[in-house]
Amino acid sequence: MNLQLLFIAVVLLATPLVWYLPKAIQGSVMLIATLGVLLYIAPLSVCLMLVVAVLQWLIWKQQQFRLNKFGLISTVLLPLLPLVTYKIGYETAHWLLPLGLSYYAFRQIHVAFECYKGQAAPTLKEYLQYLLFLPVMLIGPIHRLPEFQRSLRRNKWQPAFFSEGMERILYGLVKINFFGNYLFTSKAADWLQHMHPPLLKIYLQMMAFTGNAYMQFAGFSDLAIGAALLWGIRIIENFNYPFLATNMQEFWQRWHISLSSWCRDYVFQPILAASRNRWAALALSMLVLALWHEISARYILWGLFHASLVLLTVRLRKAAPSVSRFINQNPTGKWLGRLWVLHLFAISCLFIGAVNWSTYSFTQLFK
Amino acid sequence: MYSWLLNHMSRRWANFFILCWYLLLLYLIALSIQVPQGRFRYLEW
Repeated sequence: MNLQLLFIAVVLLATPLVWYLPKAIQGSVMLIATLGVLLYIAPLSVCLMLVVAVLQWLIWKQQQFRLNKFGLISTVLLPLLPLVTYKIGYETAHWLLPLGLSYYAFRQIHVAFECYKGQAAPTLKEYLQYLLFLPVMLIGPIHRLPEFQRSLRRNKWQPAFFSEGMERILYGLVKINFFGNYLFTSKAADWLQHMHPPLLKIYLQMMAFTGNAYMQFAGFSDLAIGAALLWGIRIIENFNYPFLATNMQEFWQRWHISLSSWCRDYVFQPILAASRNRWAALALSMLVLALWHEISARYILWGLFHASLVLLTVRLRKAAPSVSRFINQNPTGKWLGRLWVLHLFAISCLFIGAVNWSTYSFTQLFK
Repeated sequence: MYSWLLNHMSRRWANFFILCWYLLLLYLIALSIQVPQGRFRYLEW
């Protein structure tokens, strides 16, 4: 079963209740709906998630939301433990279901950093409402606490929001079902089955994988953003036409925006401030970004590949300003840049399984 | 979308269309709910 769609269905069904009941208990209705679904699917996992969140909050409360270094480190490590346990593939599947653990843990770390900076002091209820927000539980985006609280405070029934939310859900369904599942997966597999020569087949497989990755991920983000709008909450956009970027630096400002901005705020900037080494900060943030997807050698390679691409982009801008100007300002240059970005990203997908190499032998490749 | 509807019909009809759309979405989601979630591990859960 597709859990994200199940969650969206529950959001749709709970929407009349959220708006029918008094505003004072709107947040509680959202929280109860989320807890109800999660407890039904995986009660033990939810208990673990709640225990971690409550422990974190107690540490913040004990330090009066002005964390010292110990408070920060302990409340960052707490959510990382279950996340890493799951990511390294420890045999927990029979009792621990991840339930969007990657997003959940990164939200918790975000709040820990905000408390450390003295910029957040949520009550336990506010914190749980933020963490257990059904529309974004499984597929993100990693929304931010201050914006969420503001949105919840100002929340009122707006038909325009409601129709926009349904529009986004429809776009999401089309991206996932038509483009992702039908076109780039099922039809592409049929078309490529007997394709020759093998190098062309590999190229097209790589492009289909890239297209599918974008459509699935952007589609699920649309579902989450749309569902949140049904409850009157506007959350951060996750994709901004990434393949219109003309260089890799711009690409990472347009692809999975909530995660890349999280890495910028909580990895890149602290490391840059501590080390004054821009490249080390960049490499480490891309590494965190890659390991967030999966803790494996192939994702480490993928992250380092992207870090070097961003580094090369910055270097090229300084070393050859005329080329950079041509790519960023000239219409033909812009399209060349976009093609270049698309292909670089597609090549990076080769690291993460875009092509099943075991079906090819070396000699067969050049037949 | 809602403002477009309001420009072309009365509020009552606009609300009616939005309600129909809501029911249609529920139906579409019910249809797609058995579709697997894609081939990316981080999208599976």
